[in-house]
This record gives sequence, C-alpha cells and structure tokens, in this order.
Amino acid sequence: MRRSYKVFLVVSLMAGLMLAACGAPAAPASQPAAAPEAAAPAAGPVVNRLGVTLPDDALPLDQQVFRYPATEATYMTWDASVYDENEGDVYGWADSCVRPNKDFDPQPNICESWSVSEDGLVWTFNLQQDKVWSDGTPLTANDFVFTFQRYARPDYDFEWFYSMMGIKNWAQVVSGELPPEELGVKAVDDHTLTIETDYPVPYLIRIMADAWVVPQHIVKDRLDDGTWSLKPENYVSAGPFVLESYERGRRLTFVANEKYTGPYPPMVDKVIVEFMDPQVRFAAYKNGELDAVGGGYTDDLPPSAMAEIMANPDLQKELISWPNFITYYLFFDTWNPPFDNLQVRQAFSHAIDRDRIVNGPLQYQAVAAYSMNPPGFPGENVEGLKDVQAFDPEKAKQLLADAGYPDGAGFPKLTLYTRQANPALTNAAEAIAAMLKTNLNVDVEIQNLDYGSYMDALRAQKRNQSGNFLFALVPYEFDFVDGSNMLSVWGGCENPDAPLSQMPGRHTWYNQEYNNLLCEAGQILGDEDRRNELYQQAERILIEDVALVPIYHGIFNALVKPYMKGPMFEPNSAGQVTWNRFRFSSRESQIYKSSGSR
Amino acid sequence: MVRYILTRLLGLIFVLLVLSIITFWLMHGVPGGPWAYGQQLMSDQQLAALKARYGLDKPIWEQYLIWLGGVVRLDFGMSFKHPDESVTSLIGRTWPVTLHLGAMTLLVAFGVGIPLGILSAVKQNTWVDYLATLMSIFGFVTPHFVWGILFILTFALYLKWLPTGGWDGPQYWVLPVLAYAFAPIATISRYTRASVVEALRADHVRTARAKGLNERAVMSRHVLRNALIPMVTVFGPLIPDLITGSIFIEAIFRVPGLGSYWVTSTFDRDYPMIIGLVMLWAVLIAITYLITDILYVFLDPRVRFR
Repeated sequence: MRRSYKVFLVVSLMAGLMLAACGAPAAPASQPAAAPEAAAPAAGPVVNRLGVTLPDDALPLDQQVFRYPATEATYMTWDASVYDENEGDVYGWADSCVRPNKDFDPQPNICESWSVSEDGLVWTFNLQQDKVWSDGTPLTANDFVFTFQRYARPDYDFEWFYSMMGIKNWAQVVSGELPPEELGVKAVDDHTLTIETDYPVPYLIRIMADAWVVPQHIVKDRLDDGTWSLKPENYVSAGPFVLESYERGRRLTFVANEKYTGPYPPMVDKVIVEFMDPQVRFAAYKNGELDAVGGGYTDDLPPSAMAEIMANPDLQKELISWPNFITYYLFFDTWNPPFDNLQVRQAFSHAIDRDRIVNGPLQYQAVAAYSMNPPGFPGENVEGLKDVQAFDPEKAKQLLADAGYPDGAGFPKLTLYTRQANPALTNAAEAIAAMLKTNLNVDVEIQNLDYGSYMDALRAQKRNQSGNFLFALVPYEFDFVDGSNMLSVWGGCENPDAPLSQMPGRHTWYNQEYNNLLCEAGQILGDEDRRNELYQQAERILIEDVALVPIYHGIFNALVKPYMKGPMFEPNSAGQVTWNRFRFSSRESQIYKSSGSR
Repeated sequence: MVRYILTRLLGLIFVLLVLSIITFWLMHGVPGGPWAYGQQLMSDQQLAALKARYGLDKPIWEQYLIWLGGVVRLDFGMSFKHPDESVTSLIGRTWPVTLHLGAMTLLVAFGVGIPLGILSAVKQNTWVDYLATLMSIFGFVTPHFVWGILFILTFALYLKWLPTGGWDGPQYWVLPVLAYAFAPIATISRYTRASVVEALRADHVRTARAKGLNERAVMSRHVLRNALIPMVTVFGPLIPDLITGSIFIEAIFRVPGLGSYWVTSTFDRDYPMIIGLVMLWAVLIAITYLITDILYVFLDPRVRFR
C-alpha cells in the first residue's frame, strides 16, 4: 500500500520535471545568421541588391547581416525626437545634407557642393539631381525647407540645437509670431537650397551634417508631434538602408535601399537592431548573437566587462576604444553660499585626485580632465590648463581655511547629485565624496536622480534660483566638432537686458567677459586660428574661476567581431577608430562581413 | 452566493476609485515629465508647448476627471511612450507574452512544488526532506535575476545549448521559465509540506487509518483535501504576481512582455500607462482573493456564505 503511494509521488514528481523541460528543444538553439568563425568566402564575387560588388573576402550575401543592440525608444525619426528616437540616422535609414568622414570633416552627400556669400550671411547648397526617396519620389530642396520648418517648432526637443545656426527669423517662427514661410531657409529651385543667417555662422556646415531630411510628401503637417513616423506605410528612406520590419519590443530590421543613389552605397545587406537591456549585451555578444556592442555612453561594457576583456587576449583584439568628446564635471551654484566664494570652489578643485579616479574605479573608461574641451577638440587647451586645478590637498585645505572653514568646520553638509548614474559614474561620485572628506573634511552624500528629475532641478536652479541644487556631477557630450560647442554650456551671446536667470548656458555661473569672447569668436568666418584663440581665452576664464571642476573625459568602448571589415575600422588621421561614434552616419561607414579577420 | 459576489464587486469599484485618486495625485507629484530631456535647459515656451501636447497644462483635478470620463467608456487613454498605441492595446500586445511566460512558470512551479512538498512531508526528517528544504532555501534567498544570469552563463555561454535571450520559439522559453519558477517552487513546496505535515497529524487521519482505509485513500481524501485549505490562501496571490511578469526576468531574457512596463512607465512618466497598470493590478488581486474565498466553500464544508 505504501509502495503504491510512493509510485504516485515519483510519477507526479517526474511529471513536474518533464513539464519543466517541455520547452526544451531537441537540438541546440539555432542562431539566426550567425557568422561562422572560419567561414569560406563566397564562390564568386558577392554583389548586393544595389549592384555593389563586395571585396573578395566577403561572405555570401545571405550572411551579410549586421546585428547590433539598442534600447527601444519612442519615435522613428530625428525630426520627431532626438533624445527618444530609434536612431535612424545611426542605422542609416535617414540621410543628410553632408556627412562627416571619420575625421569629422563634412563631406558632400545630398548636398554636392556649397558656397557662402562674401558677408557670410547666405549659404547656397547644390543638391544631387537624381536623389529619390525609397518610394521613388524625387528628393528636392523643398524637403529640406520643410525639414527646417519642422525643426522650428516649440515642442521639438532639439530645437535649441538648430537655433545655434542663427537662421533668419528662427525664434519668431518657433514662437509663432511669423509664419514658417518666413524662415531663412529657402528653395531657389528643386536642387538649390539657400540658408540666410542673422550673423555669420562659421560652423553652419557642421550642423548641416545633422540636417536629416524628412519626406514632405509623407509627413505633410509641419506641427505633427512625430506620430507620423510610427505608421509602417510612412517608412520611406533617403539613406542607404530602408526599414523592412519593426517588431515592437523585439527588433528593427533594415535592408539595403535599392533606390539609393548617393555616394555612400551600403555593403551589408541587412542591419538588425536587437532591443535589449545594456546589462545583457556583453553576454549576447560573447554568445555570437551580436556582431558588435558598446559605443554609446550606455552600460554595454561596465567596469566588470572591461576587466574581463582586458584579461582575455581574444576579446582585447576585438576592442575598439575611442576617447569621446565628453566631459564629466562637478558644478556649483555660484550664486549662493557657500559656492559664491571663489576660494571654496578652488579648494574643491584642488582636493580631487583625478588620476586616482581614472586609474582606479574608472580604469579603461576615462582619462583625467582638467578642462572643458577634451583632447583633440578644436580650440582645446588641455596642456595649458592642466595645472590650474591640479591636485594639491595642502593648498585645498589652506584655501578652505582662508574662506572661513578651517578643516571644514562649519561647512554645510552637501548632497552630490548624479544624473541617471551607471556603475562607472556611481564609482566616480563615491571616490569624489571620499576625497572631499579626506582632504577637506567636508561631508558629502550622493543622491542619484533619474534624467527627468535631474534636468527639472537643473532648470529650476537656473531659472528660479531654487537654491536646492548646489552641487552636482554631470556629463556634456559634444553635438558637433567646433570650438563653440562644448563651451556653450556655460554661456554665449547675451542679451544685455536679460536677467541672470535668462542668460545663455545651463548653469548658475555668469561671466560677461566669457560671454563676449564666445560671441565674438562665434561670428568670425574663415579664420579658425583666431576663433580658437578666443575660445582658449574664454576657457581659461571658465577654469580659473572654477565654474566647474572637470573630472574625466569618457572613453567609448566597443567590441566588434573581427570578421567585420570596412574603412570605418581603420584609424583616422588622429590614429583613432571612430566607429563607436559614427556607426552608419559617416561617409565611410560601409562595412561588410568577411571570411578573414581585421 | 451570487449576492455575495455582487457585493464584493461593488466594493471593488469603490476601492478602485480611491486607489485611482491616490495614484493620480502621487504620480503627478513626482518631478519630471513624459517628454524627452536633452542636454540643454528647456525654454519656458518649449515647456509650455510640451505640457499642452500631453494635456498636462490643465489643473490636476480636471486631468483626473478627463481620465475618469474615458475610463467609464473603457478608454484608458493613449500611452505617452508609445503615442500610437492606447494603454489597452499596449497591454493587449505585451500581456499575452507575459501570460504565456507566467502560465508556463505556474505549471512548472506547481508541477514541481506540490509533489516536492508532499514528498518531504511524507518523508519528514529524512535525507529527502533535508534535500528539498535545502533547495527551497536556495530558491527563497536567491533573487530570480541571479538565477537568470547564472543560467545564461551556464546554458548559453558555457554549454552553448540555448540562446542568451529573445522570444522567438521554444528554445527561448526554457531559461526564463526556469529562473522565474525557482522562487515559487520554494514557496509552494514549503507551504505544501507544512500543510500536509499538519494534516497527517490530525485526529481524523488517525481515525481513517484506524478504520483500515488504504494509504492512498487516506492521503487523497483526508490529508490532501484538508491540506489544500491553507495552501489555497497562499497560492492564490502567487498567480497574479506571476502572470503580470517580472522586469528582471523580462529584461535579462529579452522577453517583449508587460513586465518591464511596471517600472519603465514610471521612469518615462507615462501617466496613462502607470495608472492603467495600477488598475489592472488591483482588479487582478481583488478577483484572485474573491476566487480564493469562493474556493473555500468547496474545500471546507464549514465555510458558508451568509
């Protein structure tokens, strides 16, 4: 009797275990389009659907699939949202007036040539004659006019960026005072575009690399909130790739655009963007489910992954590191105590040992920063500024004492805010707090805010002087490669009647001389040396007045399987591989899968 | 009994109303908005335009009444994060995936947990019991994302048997279901064991054995049936928990389900989605408890509706 009961139990237990295993396949999981490690090249020459002949070592066309991870965003086009977009520009389904080469210099693209008037106020662009959208409709100068009119709407999140082009009547069109037709962007004929500016804008051509053109015949409504991009029938492309399918929550599949006629024909046949959390990408890459990871300032390769890569010679060979133009810095509310006192700010700037941070918790992720402009950026003065805020704990102590806080006595307890911190940034913040305690005896607690809360607090600090956001750590990443760009965080051409809260820049720091220098340099056409000289003078003011304490410049790390080849994986003139930044947005982003290795 | 159920459902409407008011005020009280934030500060004009786009420029009570007016017509609004999808269609798209995962997990959890619990109760204080206890403790104390990462390392990266994630076929289901089922297996087997042990010691079981019933009849009719009552109390609430998904499991294994929205909708300030999910959760919990209460009637003759 007891035995039969036992049998019942055993059977039910086994049934349970079988249920657990019922989903298991008989055969190992098939990896879609996984590239074999030692595959043979195709028998004959590989010609893709555009008629482009791939190099001799190319794998057959059905294996020319490039798989890359991303986080799913809301919109499908740049003109809907830049900060919440599925990065069509990066994956090449959008196209632009000019495209940078891997040295960041704008090269002809849809705009085949351009010229500037003598006074620097009118730019004329000549467009490619036979350019068409992927549905066959001709792409004309009117599409560009419409694109800029769409950028000039008040609820567009990147409106501020195009406002830096100084386009005539920009602000009036944004606010609705003038009709969009009054904007200084005009189509002379189907293939000639002019842009009129209020003042000379020497870097305008660089911003034109981000003139991602919108199909007017599809979008039609200038004030559409961007939902036009979410309808599958609207997916027409001007770029080298066109969207084949969008499986919500899973992936985007792009396929080479057969109608593409520009100077940048694709080589790979498909690009698949797999939506996945940054934390799991490294494992998927190692398992052969992805051809590349990393690149952005996401957490694809956190400190733990970097340690693993550096200990593994095979992975190390696949690593591409690029010191990005990004600066992580501490800033203060210089309009309120205690940071209205320059000596206090100086004390902080000398109390932080950047070398220990970049050689310790941020190893392989950062280089030490003593200036706003990073190494290699136009107008940078890294060498000239590195001693201004050099690490000197004795001097720091003395300065804090001179400011009335001997050994930190009476100094308020601080909160150091971070913005949506990843593991690396949290490590840096903790190191900074520890150094301030050790060297200045100042108590700092760290509080991480999500992106929205942080930016709301930053805005309230500047606009309303809320006074509760005294001290924080934040990055700024460049938007375009020009000396004006990263310094614009701190100021620009000012309206002399504006109150402090409406002065240019995002922080509570103000210096009239700084603003005047930026304003003057921003309008010099044709003399880059003079411009950069002025930017260097401005940056010296910024660093000497300790508007910020630069901590580190982030390094973009990416892993790319060795069978991926293309000009983008060759170093540029500065000896760097800029793939991490460009992916598909450069002229030289033509990549393919080979049977060999890089 | 019908009257009892109706009374309970009426009470639920009141609960939902109060809950929706609290949730509405709380979520709008958090700083930040549903729009994307860039690197630069927004102008006053931009902020006003964005607020108008999302209907957040109206007073909060008016926003609530607009929302409530929609709910009466079963319209929970459009998601802010997926502006071409309504909250109901977004849930309709993602929940089936999560339900699929949850149902498989429930099958495994109960299929393994209950026999394991019975086994360790019958084999009380033997090595079988100790082993089951040890497994349960591991299941309890180890969060499922740890199992998830461990399974990826073992079965995907080391053994190369299975993909690290995705949701494109049966081979993609195995690891998330296993990782997700560990904790409920532990819960179920421990409660089953406790209930069965208690029932085994009851006087009526001794009586049943004394009158010469065979062991199978004693177990099924006298022990298990009585053991079920405390089990139902605990197991009922496990179900809505498992079928609404876990952000960790779904994020680690790239499951395109509902699980991540419980968290991301808050980060995105996707107000219609937040409150839609809170309502869904409340209804599920309420219905589960209602069903649990009704089940008592069938399991325990002493419970009667009055």
